[in-house]
Amino acid sequence: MAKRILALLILMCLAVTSCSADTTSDPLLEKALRISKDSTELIKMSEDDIIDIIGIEPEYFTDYAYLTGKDTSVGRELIILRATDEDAAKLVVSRLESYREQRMRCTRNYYALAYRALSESEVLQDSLLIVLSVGSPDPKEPQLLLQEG
Amino acid sequence: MKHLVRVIAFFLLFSFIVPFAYAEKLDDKVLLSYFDDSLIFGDSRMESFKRFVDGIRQTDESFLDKTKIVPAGSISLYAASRTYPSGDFLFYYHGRQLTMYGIADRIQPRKVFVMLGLNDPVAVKIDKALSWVEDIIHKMNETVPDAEVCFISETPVTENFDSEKKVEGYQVSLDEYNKRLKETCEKNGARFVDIAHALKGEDNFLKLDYSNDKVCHLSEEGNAALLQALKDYVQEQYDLGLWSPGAAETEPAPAETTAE
Repeated sequence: MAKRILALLILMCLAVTSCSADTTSDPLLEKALRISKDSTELIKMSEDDIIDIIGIEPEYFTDYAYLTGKDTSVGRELIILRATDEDAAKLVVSRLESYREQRMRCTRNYYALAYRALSESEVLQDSLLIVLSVGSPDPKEPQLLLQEG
Repeated sequence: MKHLVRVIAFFLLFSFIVPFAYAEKLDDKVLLSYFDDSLIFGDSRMESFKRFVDGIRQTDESFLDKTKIVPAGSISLYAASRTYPSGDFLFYYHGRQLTMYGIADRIQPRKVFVMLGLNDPVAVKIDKALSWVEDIIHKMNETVPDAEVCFISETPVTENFDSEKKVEGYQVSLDEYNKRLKETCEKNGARFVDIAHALKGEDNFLKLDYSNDKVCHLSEEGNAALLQALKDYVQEQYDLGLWSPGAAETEPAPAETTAE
C-alpha cells in the first residue's frame, strides 16, 4: 500500500513539474502572443530559423520568440530575444540590424508593403531584452514587448 | 487463330496494367523523406514555400524537418550562379552574405535543389540562362561532389504577366525554357523536376487561384500544389525504380561544417 502511495506521489510530482514547465518554458513567446494583436495569424519560427535566417547562435540568448506572417510580401515579423549577457546583447543587436538591412535590400523594388514596414521598423533594446517588430497592426507593439512583466 | 490472338492480347494487356494498378502508393512521410538532408535554394517563391512549410510545422514538427530551405527574395539565376558575393541580392545565411556554393559547402547536403529564374527573367534570355544553369551544376559538383544537383522547373505565370512585365508571349517562351532546362540537366548529369504542369490551368497559364498577386507568385493553394507536384515526382522516381525509401538513411547524415 505504502509503495502504491509513494508511486502515486511520484507521478503527481512529475505531472506538476511538467505542467509548470509548460507554462514557464516560453515566457517571451507567451508575452509576444499576448501582446501582438495579430497573434492568431502568426507562425512560430524555430530556433534553427534564428540561427539560419538571422544568424544568432543559441549561446547568445536565453529565451526568444520569432513570429512571422504567412504572406511574405507583407513582411510581418516579430522577433524578441533575451540576451545571455551584455556582450551577447551587442551581438544580437548587430545581427538583427544586419538582418533588417538585408531584408530591406531584398524587398526594395519588389515587395512595397514589406519594404515600407521594414523602413519604419527599428531594433530596440532595454538591457538584455531586444526587439525587432515589423509591420505590426499596433504601433505600440515594440514598446509593449520591451516592458518586462 | 483469332481466339489465340485475343488470348495473347489479353495477357499482354493484363501484364501491362496490373503493375500500374498495384504500384505501391507511398505514404506522404515516406515520399518527403526523399528531401532529407537536402538543401533547396530559391527566390521569393521559395521564401513563400518555406513559410508554407513553416505553417505546416506548427502542427507537425517533423514535416520536412531534415530539409534546409534557403531563399533569397529578388535573387536572379545569374546572381546566384556567381562564385563571389556582391551586389544587393544574395543569399543570407547564419548572419552573413554567402554564395550558394558557400552555403552548400557548410551544410554538405545529399541533394541540392535550385528553383531560380523569375527575376532574370530567364525566358527572354534562354541561352544565357542555360549557361548559368551549367555553371551552377559544375560549380556545385566541385563544391559538394557527392551531392545530386536537381533543378526545379520554372513555375508558370498568369496571363497578366505580359502586361505587368512588358513582355510578349512569356509563358510560351517559358515552356521552351523548361524543355531546354530538362535537356541541359540531363546533358550535365543533373536531375530535372517538372512542377510546372501541376500549376497550370487548361489555358496553359498559372492557375489564378494558385497566385497571390495574379501574376507569378504563389498563393497558399499554389504552394500546396507545388508540394504535391514534388511528392508526385518522388512517387514517379519510386515507380521507375530510380529511388527507394530509406536510401538516404543508409549512410549517416554529414555534420554541418563551420569552414568557410
